Amino acid sequence: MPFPLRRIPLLAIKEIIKSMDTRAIFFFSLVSKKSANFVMISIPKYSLSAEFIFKENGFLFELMPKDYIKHEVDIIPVFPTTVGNHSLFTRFSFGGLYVNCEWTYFSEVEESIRNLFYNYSRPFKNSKINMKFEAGTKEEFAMEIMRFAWDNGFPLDNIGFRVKNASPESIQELLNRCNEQHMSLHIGTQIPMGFKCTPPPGGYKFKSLSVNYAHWVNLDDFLQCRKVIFTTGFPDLTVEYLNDLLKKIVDVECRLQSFLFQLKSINPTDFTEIVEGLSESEIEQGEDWQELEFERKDGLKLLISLSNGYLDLEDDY
Amino acid sequence: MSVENAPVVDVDEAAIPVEKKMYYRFESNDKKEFRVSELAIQQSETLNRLVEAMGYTSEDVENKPAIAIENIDGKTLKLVFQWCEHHKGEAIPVDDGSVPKIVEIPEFDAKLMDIDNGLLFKLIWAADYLNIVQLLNVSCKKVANMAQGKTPAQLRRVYLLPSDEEDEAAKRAAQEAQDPRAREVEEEFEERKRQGGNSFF
Repeated sequence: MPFPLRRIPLLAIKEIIKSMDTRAIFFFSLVSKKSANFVMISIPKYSLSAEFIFKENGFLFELMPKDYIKHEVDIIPVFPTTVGNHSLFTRFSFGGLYVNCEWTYFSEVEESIRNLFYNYSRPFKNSKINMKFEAGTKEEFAMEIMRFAWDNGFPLDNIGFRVKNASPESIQELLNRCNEQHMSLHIGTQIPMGFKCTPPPGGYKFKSLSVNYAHWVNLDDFLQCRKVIFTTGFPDLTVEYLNDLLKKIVDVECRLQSFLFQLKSINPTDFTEIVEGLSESEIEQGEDWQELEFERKDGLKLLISLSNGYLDLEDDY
Repeated sequence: MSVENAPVVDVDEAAIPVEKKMYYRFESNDKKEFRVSELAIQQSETLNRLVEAMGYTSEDVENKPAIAIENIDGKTLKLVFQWCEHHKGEAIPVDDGSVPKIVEIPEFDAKLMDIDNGLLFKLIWAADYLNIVQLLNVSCKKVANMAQGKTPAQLRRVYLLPSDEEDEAAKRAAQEAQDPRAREVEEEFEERKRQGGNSFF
């Protein structure tokens, strides 16, 4: 005998959906628009984590509880199915906590991916949302998707922007509209050499910001971020600037507590001067590395190291 | 304690308990009477507030009519009170917001809910109406477990979920029921279209 779910009180329907495993919640959202609505209103904010990966010829959707740790061995392999203009590859973990659906398109790629994203993001719009745009994704399409997410108030948590090239306007919009203390943003895009960033008042405050092509970065605009990674093309910093920066970090004058900089002009012999006045401890060193442990005013332990042209500050080592 | 031995007393079938604890008398909509301990009642926010507001003494309980619960039948209410008696004194759980929600169904509850879906449906309605948080949790978990390993098509059958088309048709029917003239207008419009007219007015 079936169970007439839609005839019980709304509170009970929500309880039932919340008690389902992730796979069942996902399938329930696919039954009808109304079922998708029930899922949307039942799932408490940030209780699930949804990841959308946009690829050159496809789309990947992952859904799991917020603290779920993915182990490949737990995931049941399923053979892909080909229907119409696409193939679909769906996998689940044992126990149904992890859902992974990957579509590969042979034609009408953007239109199909757009529809999938609109359909799949709506029921899970209260989840912690991660979005990644891989190298083959077009800039205009990626920004259209981002604007849809911003305009609909999606609780974005982690953005990976790896489209091959992007205009200064897109990068500026991405930086300014993602600028939240809980946000992680990775920009792996080649950015025009003339790009000048206009920071918001008070600077940026990302939880984590990683930039591959960092020729445009003025570090002073990013001192209120918790973690920054600036690599290729990152403008040179003087030894004095770096020593001042580390002292500001010790005195908790900025929020920065972890960084990785690729610095062309810094030599191994500069390390002593960079870390001067931070700690009584001795610098440890190996063949091609040097490091020093020191403490922030509030007791947070930090480790600064220089190795192969990379200056690295770690707060979790 | 087994489900059968749970200390809910169906007055028609058994003697009145002689314990000195405070008991309350409730009556279902099919006139079945139950005596339920004060501690067991605390599992139900609705009943707890009700008896607090009434301020009954032990004598009132005996002399005044049983408290009527008008929208729950005796069979369902018996399950509810058996559950409340078994879990009396237990803390009311607080939802930590995790999904999937972690709910263990104890052996007693599993046996109590070894019932057909019709009665399970009524039990959920009763748990919601009487605001018995943990009974709602376990009964909803039992229903949620029905979804394990099912495809969307199977879920549609398990939970009697209408398709989008069926939902649309039901919405139209509801609108028409509210406004019978709307159907007449629509029929008139369709008729004129059939006759080749291009203007309705």
